[in-house]
Amino acid sequence: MNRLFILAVPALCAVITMLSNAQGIAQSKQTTPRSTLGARKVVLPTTAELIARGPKVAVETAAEVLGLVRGAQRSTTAVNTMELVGNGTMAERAADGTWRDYKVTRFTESFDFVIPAARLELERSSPNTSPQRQIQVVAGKQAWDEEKPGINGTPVADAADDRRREIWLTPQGALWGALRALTPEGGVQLANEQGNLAIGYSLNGEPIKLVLNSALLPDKVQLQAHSAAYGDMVLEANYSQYKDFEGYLFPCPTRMTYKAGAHTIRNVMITNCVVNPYVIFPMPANMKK
Amino acid sequence: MTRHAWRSSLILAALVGGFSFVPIALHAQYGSAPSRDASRSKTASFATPRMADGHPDLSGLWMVGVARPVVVDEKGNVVMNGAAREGSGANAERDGFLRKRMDPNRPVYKPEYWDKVQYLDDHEVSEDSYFHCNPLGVPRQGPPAKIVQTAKELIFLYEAPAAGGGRNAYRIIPIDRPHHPVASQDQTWMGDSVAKWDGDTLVVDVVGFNDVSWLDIEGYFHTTALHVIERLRREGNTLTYQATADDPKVLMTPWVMNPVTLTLVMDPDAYIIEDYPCHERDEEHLVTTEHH
Repeated sequence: MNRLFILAVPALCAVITMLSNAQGIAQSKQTTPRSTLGARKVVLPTTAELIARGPKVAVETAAEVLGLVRGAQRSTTAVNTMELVGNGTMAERAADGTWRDYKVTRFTESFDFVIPAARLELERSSPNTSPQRQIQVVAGKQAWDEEKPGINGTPVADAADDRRREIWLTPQGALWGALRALTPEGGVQLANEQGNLAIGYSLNGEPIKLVLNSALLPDKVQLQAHSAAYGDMVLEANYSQYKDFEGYLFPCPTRMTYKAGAHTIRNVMITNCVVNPYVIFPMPANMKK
Repeated sequence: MTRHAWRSSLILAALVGGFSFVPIALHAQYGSAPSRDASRSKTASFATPRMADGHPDLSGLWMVGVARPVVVDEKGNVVMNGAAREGSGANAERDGFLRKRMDPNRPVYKPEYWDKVQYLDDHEVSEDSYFHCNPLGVPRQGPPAKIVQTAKELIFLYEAPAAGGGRNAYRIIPIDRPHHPVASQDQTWMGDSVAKWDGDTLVVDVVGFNDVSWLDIEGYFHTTALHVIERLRREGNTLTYQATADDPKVLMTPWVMNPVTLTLVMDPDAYIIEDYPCHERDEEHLVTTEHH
């Protein structure tokens, strides 16, 4: 806790400094103390204030809190890759339309927000199946499965869009997308949802809504999509219990739940979160042939 | 290693340059503070000087980026003129190394080595030999701070690590000669270098490396099969340096590293500072694996 306390203070001071400087708007007397990372009560802008200051300040403030804004140059491209490690449960719709539940003993998902690309490594089992190991990859518009990371790829048709959506469902991915939507044509919109800030924008024509919690960390990400696996539906990710795993002022949720429509398809406890790790997504050599 | 001195210089570099580019620590010979005044590094273009044989003359003192003036307060103290978050050196260091890892230009290792790269990166403070008083080596040390060129050879001189240089290291590179039969097999930090001209571009071919140095700080290891090609091209008072690292034992494809642009230092008083002595005395005090 002491470490979190030490880490949270500078990050939030930075937010306050940035907001104080932003567009000459001084701190309002109406700001409300909010708790962040469980460390202490600090003054963060209210939802109303962020909405009043507009999408750029709101999105960059949230990105700052999440550790995406770095360096004296206030770079918003400093975090480009990420890896989540955990375990939990998941559900998948089988070809016959029934839902199958799995226990996931190993969950490692790595992301590259630039390509964009993702690799999901799973070790899972269910009462009706033998233990499975799966490695699902997407890089740009191509999707494939791998026998081992980077080795023996098998193309998977119609999976690229679904797998790529998982990148933008992450807290960091959703804000990464919002930062890039801060253009005149980006259409970032702000709303007050029961006191919390909601940020809306479109990515590849699909609406994304990101709702922040009282500490300005992503609480919920909704993505309206036409999924190859689930049809027209809303994908919803919920995040909680943020923790700065490595001490780089990079809070990650320790609990994440994904829903496809009414079905919970993933419930994972995150045990490690690495910022900017070495993760690459070259097409396996056998597929190049 | 004199970790404190090393970290101080690194933090200074972060604060001054924000790690987007870090001016090498070229200092003037007199005055109350080092001279990094950009106005003294005139960048006006002029014709590329040439040797008698017609090749470009790369000789000179070279500086990465354009230096910023150092601010000195009324007591003569050097003032940090870069805005780290909350003025915190620790934040500057954390951000700097996090940003160092943001470069999407990564070497593509064979899949069986991905975990090793991650491990080395995670344990950089214990695994990176540079942190334990060893040289950076080629190509990690980057471009030289000073080049002395004759018709038959080049001498590369390197400066302290703020520029990514390598602890006052040096290289003597013959032109149009084959690799040395012994040195090219010697497995050293710098390897064995030979140069040739490709038009106006100097191409330096380097082999004979050990397998201890890294290609860069992110755990990018290599084997003794490493083969480095460096290309240097001078146009007026600008020098472009680019290295390509190939190690077919561990890399899927040669890694073409980002080019570095250097500016000729016109200040006649500028000089290369002596590096800090390196004595390992911090390792036993490390309590985390936080990157440095």
